[in-house]
Amino acid sequence: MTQTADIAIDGAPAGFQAYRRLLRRRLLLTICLGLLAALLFGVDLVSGPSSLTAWQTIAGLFDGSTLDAGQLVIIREIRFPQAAMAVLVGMALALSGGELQTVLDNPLASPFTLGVASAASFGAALGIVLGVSLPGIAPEWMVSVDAFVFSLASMGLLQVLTRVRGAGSEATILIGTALFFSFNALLALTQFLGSAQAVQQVVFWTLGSLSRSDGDRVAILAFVTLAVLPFSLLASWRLTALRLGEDRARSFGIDVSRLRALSLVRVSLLTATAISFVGTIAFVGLVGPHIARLLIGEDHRFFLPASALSGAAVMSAASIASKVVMPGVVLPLGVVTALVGVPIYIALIMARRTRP
Amino acid sequence: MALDLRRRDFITGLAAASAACLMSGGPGKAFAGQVTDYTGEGVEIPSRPRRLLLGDGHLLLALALVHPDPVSLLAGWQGDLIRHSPAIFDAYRKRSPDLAKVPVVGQASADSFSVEAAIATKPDLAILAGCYGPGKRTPQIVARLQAAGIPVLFVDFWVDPIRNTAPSIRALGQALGGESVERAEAFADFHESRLTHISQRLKSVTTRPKVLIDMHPGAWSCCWVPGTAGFGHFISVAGGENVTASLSQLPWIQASREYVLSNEPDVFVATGGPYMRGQGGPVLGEGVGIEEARRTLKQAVDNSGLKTLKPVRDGRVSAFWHLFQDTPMNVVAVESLARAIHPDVFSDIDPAATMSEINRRFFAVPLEGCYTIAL
Repeated sequence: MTQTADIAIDGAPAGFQAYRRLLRRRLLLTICLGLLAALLFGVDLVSGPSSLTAWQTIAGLFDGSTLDAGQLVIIREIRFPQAAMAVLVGMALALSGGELQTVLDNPLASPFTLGVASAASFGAALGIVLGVSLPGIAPEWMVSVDAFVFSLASMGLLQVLTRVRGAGSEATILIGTALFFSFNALLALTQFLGSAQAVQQVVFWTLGSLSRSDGDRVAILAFVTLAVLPFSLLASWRLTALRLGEDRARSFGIDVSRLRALSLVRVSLLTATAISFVGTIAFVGLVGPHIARLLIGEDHRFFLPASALSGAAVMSAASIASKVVMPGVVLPLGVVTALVGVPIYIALIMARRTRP
Repeated sequence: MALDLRRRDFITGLAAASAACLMSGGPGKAFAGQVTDYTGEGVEIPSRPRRLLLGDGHLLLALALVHPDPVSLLAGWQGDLIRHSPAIFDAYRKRSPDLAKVPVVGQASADSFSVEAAIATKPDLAILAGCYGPGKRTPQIVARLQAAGIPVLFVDFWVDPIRNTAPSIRALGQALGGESVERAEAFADFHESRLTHISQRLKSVTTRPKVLIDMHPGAWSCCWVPGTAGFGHFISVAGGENVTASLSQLPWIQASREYVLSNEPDVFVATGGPYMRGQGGPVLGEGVGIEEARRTLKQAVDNSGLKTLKPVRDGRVSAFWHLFQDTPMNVVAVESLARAIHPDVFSDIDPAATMSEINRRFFAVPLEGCYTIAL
């Protein structure tokens, strides 16, 4: 008896220290991801087709006295909103993806598997093709508002239907997939009815673009992201427990249905706001969380912030790439994001495989 | 619905057959039987066509330049004019109510063109423009029409409109025969003389001001601009330098706002259409008043994100109907550009007057509305 007790007493500090080391490593990796995201944001900010220098750009953000009106517009109304939007969209979508992969216990889950993006695209198409608008909405906000309303409504419908069915993760995925196909069919129908010009606009909307960013949109998305993030972090230990399995989580006294439902509310808000401003950018919601998981593991206190930061880094990298590949031309952001994200993603998977 | 369609096809088929019987017996004007299209290729047309299939609905406008009653010639047509230019459709329908009964064989793209529906309209000539419907890029559709014994005439107002408009119109007149030959010749001459007038006068002008054309500003996200084709080519014909020419060889490409702002033009030109109503873009075209055109253009430029550009500050802003890019009246857009780019050199040119002249001298159904505007 005493011997086992001794071992336990001796072993505990050792285990505790190992745990401390693990925590420190995770914290360090999260900070590194944050620094990387900040660096890429900076590079994104100073790259573009005009002849502004990096110093002029950064100085121009604070003091515009040395620059002409055109340069000021470029810096304050184009570069900064677009670079900030890239960071925020990456954070919002990757955070959503991370939460969804956990609560649905499915590594392929992303805000897009559940039909939110299709619903947003359908809403946008209604605005672009048929001019459907809520009363009192200015034309430049119409498409964003339509997309937002439809993606929130689709998530609401998903919540109601899964409640009726009993709130299992499988039911959520199956019903979400049904919504995905329904909204895609409605989107196709809207395009069929639209004129060539309108259809082209819808197609480009669905491919994603940062060029619609402005100060108001950045402020709204920043507000939503900062408002939702603390609730995600508060739920992080429950989410970590859920990774051990639904039954284990229940045995800790966690109300899994409630956890899932609240998580879906957060995901709805983040995703709907982000994609209503930039269109559908699918890949970052899937790859951001996976990069974080490969680097940090399942501890959601670190995994969730790391997901958000990975997403931000991927989006900033994509934004830089889209400016460098064909200077002056706007390449669809959804396309560039996937093309930039895939190599990072595969490199991480390969690196992990080769480890002993 | 399907039954109705079939019955109608049957009846129109009968009518066509009886008309053909009457025609073959009666005296007809001399008909060449062989037409050279704009590429220089010969098209064999066995008898003078009386039932036309329009692969692009907007070809109705080309037809209206060379024939006094274009609707009477239609066996079937593509649906793009009904969709994109409902005001023009209404104007023609008011004149010829039968237009609403002409079978529509597709929507507004080659994919949606139904070869079966097209053959069922029993046309004796198919005219293809390849913009909103089948054309040279869809040889499988052309082959099937030809296999069904329908001669196919290609025209082009979209790929290279400056060069191909006159030969396309001439070929169309030749194909229809009779007075259409002279009408087509007259319009082709008119088109060419207008272009020559501009190029002659530009010979003594050395400056080439920088021009930005922005498609649907205020409504579409910034900035859809021409490459070297389409309106990009119009700019050089009108004596300007297209600031976005280096971006692409296509008619349109999406340029970033930063690129546009840092390659400042001297002249800002927008395109628009009646479909921009309620969308925030410039409203121009059929049934649009000057006041509405001016107001919406102003609004569109204010919301385009390009308000700080020099031409906007200097008031060198103009706009024209977007569909000049694929209709035979394109010389009006060239004149509008020339006037905007070199106001001193071309002070005698008035694109609105040219539009009126086309209406008065050529069009069977005049187009009424504001098609060009300058702020």
